[in-house]
Amino acid sequence: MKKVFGFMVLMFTLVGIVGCSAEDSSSEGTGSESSEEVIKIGGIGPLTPPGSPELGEELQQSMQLAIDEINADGGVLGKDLELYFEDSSGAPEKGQSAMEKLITKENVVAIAGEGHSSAALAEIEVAKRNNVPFIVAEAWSDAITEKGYEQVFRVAPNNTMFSKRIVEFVEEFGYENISIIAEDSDWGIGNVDLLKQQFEEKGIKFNSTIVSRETKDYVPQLLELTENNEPDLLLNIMTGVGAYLVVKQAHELGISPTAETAMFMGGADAAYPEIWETTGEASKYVIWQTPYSPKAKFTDLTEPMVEAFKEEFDRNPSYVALHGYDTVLILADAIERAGSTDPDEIIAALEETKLMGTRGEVTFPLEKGPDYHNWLPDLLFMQYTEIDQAPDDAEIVFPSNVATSDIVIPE
Amino acid sequence: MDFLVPLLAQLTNGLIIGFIYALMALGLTLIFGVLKVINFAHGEFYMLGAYISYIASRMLGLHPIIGIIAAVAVVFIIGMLMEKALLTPIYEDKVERKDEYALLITFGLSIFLMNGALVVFGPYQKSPEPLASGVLDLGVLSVSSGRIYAVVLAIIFMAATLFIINKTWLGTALRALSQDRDASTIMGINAKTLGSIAFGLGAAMAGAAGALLAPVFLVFPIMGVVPAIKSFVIIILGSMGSIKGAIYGSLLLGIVESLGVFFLSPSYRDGYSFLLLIIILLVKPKGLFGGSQWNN
Repeated sequence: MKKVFGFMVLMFTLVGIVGCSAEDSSSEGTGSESSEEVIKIGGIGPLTPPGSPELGEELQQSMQLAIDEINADGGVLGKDLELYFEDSSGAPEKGQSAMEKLITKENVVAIAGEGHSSAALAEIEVAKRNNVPFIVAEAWSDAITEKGYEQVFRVAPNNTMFSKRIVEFVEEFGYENISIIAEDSDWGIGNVDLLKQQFEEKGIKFNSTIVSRETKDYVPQLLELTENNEPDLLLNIMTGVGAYLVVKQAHELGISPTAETAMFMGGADAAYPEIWETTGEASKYVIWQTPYSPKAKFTDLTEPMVEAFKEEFDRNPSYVALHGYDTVLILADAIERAGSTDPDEIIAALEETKLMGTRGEVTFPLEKGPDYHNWLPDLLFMQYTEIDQAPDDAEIVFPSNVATSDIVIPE
Repeated sequence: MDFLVPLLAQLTNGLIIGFIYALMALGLTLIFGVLKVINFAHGEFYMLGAYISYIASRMLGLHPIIGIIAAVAVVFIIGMLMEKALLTPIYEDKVERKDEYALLITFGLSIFLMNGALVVFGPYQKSPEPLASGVLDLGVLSVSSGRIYAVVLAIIFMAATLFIINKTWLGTALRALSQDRDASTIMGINAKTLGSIAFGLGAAMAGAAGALLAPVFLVFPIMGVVPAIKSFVIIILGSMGSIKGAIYGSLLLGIVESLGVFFLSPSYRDGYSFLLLIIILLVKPKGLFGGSQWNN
């Protein structure tokens, strides 16, 4: 009896392992077709911790969606595109080896993806060394484009833009005392440095704290920030679980969002449906940012893509999916115009990109600096005004040219 | 007063967290005490408890308290079965390096359960129905009712465990086992069955902590990693296998963390526990309750 039981556990374990590996191989494509018949596109992103797996999954899904649509339309240069997606875990060393694998083993012609700056910074080195075009989809660190590698492009905002828009927002609404709680990632720390610099220049009072992403109790840090201090805006520069827990715990402590202190959430997580289950009423009145809202009309491509994503994956895409989707459109367009899969020709074609994406007409500036090869999408400041409100129903409060409502202040 | 209120607020929060650490650490020390096995999958039992309470309260629509009870019961059974299936070779002399075997197999189990949760539930954060909403004003600090419930229930669970260990036949047998496995087997104690029960109990305590904290700190596949590390720190500084050590160690950790936050900086909060561990190990290499086992 005991032996039988042990055997059963062993079988379950084996089934688990086989199940996992079967999934791996499907995510990497079939791989049986020869490279002559298909054009191989590499995808990279965090599918396992410490990265944010939801972010990676959305990148993978949206890139696959774009590839399927392009293939259904006849492909590129008469060939089908095929996606080879590798897991970077959002970690530099894993990202590097994932890039190496895509380039040397799978022989992809170009790569897109990544959502964590620390991983992306390691990955661009591999792209440069091997001369493979790489479009960064969702990592915001300035250094990624500031280094001026000709192989590296980006369709996400960079930190300078993100922090500039926050300061514009602060000035527009006249906030005078700011508290910042930020995670210990390149993205979090980078933003705090940029914000500090700009607040100091403008003479806006602020305090800040950097917290570990591993921690789950942010009460001590929140108490510290508000000790004998009542900020009128709390900037929550966090991603993943931390972003939700700061909202939840600040609400429980009665710190924010309140009539005195507004809350701004910087991470993409504000637009995920999980926000209401995880934070409940705490997220009512939270202000957050997104490059996309159906209330702000961008282009004719936006709505069909969103509908197709919902149809395919049974989930509303966040803007990460739009970024992932656009990278594939941009690569397909560049390869088509280059008329070849030679890396130098694709890079040259990318530099001349003038393509309608899901959020606007994409072009890549050539002046060196953080904006080199970086197409900057719009950034919308939104506010949840009802509990369980869908991100798409939230009101746009900033910038004023597309705003649908004033900021609602809780009673 | 300007100085005192924030300090008390930090201390209160530290103590609340300490009580919750204690439940988990107690489970870990129980398993080590009886089986002499370091359970690397402890954090994953914490995660399992959280997911079970999530399934019960959100998917099946049961009352959250039933979700917590279900989590304790199911994790207890899973823990017992895992012990029977994976750890039996140690007692049947089938493996040469018993300690390494136990270390590796529980480590493997941990990775398996974490990835299993990722496949089954996906990477997204969930939250079971909370026991209560709203906040409670403690004067210096307003605390969510969820945390208060978690602490009260954690104390009840700990008291029940202490009662079982100190006042029942089962507890006497477990204590005997922890002191001398061979001698107690000779005296007629069924070491195999009791070993499974001890492992199940320890796992169930982690499961209970997970279920209690699920609405407070959210549910996701890697949620158990940090609490497990804290538990290891606690039982090492309180002496491995010591029950008193686990409880006092947890409270000490909660207090030291909040003092560190208040007097030094909140940014290095998770570092203070390791600093404390290093100091205690330097001064008392066997831990706070060094060497002494179950009878304290």
